[in-house]
Amino acid sequence: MSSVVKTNTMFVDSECLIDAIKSTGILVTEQSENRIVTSRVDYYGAETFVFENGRFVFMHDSTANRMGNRYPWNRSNLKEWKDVGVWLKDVGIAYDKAYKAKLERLAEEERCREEERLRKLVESRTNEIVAKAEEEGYYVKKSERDGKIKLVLVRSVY
Amino acid sequence: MTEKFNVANIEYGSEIYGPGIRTVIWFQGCNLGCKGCWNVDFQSLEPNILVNREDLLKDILDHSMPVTFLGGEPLLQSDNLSWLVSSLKDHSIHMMLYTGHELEEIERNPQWSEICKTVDILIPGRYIERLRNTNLSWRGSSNQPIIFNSNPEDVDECNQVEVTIGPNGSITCLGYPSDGLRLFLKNIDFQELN
Repeated sequence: MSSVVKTNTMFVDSECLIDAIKSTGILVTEQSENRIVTSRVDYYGAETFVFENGRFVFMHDSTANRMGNRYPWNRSNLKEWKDVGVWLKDVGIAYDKAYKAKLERLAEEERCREEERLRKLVESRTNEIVAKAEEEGYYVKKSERDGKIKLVLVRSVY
Repeated sequence: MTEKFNVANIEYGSEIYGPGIRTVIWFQGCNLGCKGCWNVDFQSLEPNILVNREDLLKDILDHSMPVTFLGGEPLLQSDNLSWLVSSLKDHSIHMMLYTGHELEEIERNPQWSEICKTVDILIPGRYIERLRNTNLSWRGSSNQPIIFNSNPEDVDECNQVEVTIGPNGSITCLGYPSDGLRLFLKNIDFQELN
């Protein structure tokens, strides 16, 4: 009989899930937006993650664990068969690690984008002010200190 | 007597309030009410930023720059100011003081008089709107003299403005910008101090 195992780890990110699956030595043989097919095989065929209600759930044959070493597919497709619970725990640990790394990467990318946005804002404001000051007849002296740009504008009237 | 200064703003590294690169301190509170005052926000006598006088002294010394006092009216806090300028004198810090009081008023008050003699440069006198002249160095109206108590130097009269653009794009403008520049800066939302 086919069953659904719900793990403690919420698999919501396909990229991290695929990385996690691969890190356990299992291959991903097919993937689409809502399905990740693994190289683990049981009575019903390839064990598969299916995206449902905002998370990936694992579809597999629940009798495999009960049969233990007598389960015929545990030797046919893997050198080291792990039952579903043990394997999913490994996937969960790897997924959490990959997900954390991804969040850190995204935060870093966002930080870099924000820094770049501010750098361009400061540059454009500086250029605008310098242009206007020169148009008004000011001599402009530009310097940088403590991350700030300082413009000293001097205009003599004779 | 409270030993705290009522401060409105401090800028470090300004180049337009006296010779060289200076720490500039605007004191909060003024009761002179000059018509057309540039710093109306600094007139209120209510507490703004309260700073222990020892802390302010340390801050000035830590920055190792000459210092300029303006306001507001610095002489309104003359007990603490007297202590501060005396302490800074001991450290040979160059000081410049703006006050809205006229020389005759200063001379009638021994404490003010002592303070004004201790600083290196004094700019006394009310801001008079009809004498406004933005082409003067360091001051806003032509009745205000520059009095050097030490090392007199020639001052090239000119209009000076300092614009600081912070890392987040914020803009602070010090000094007396031309009307055109002021309007331009106003349109890009800036904080103005004179």
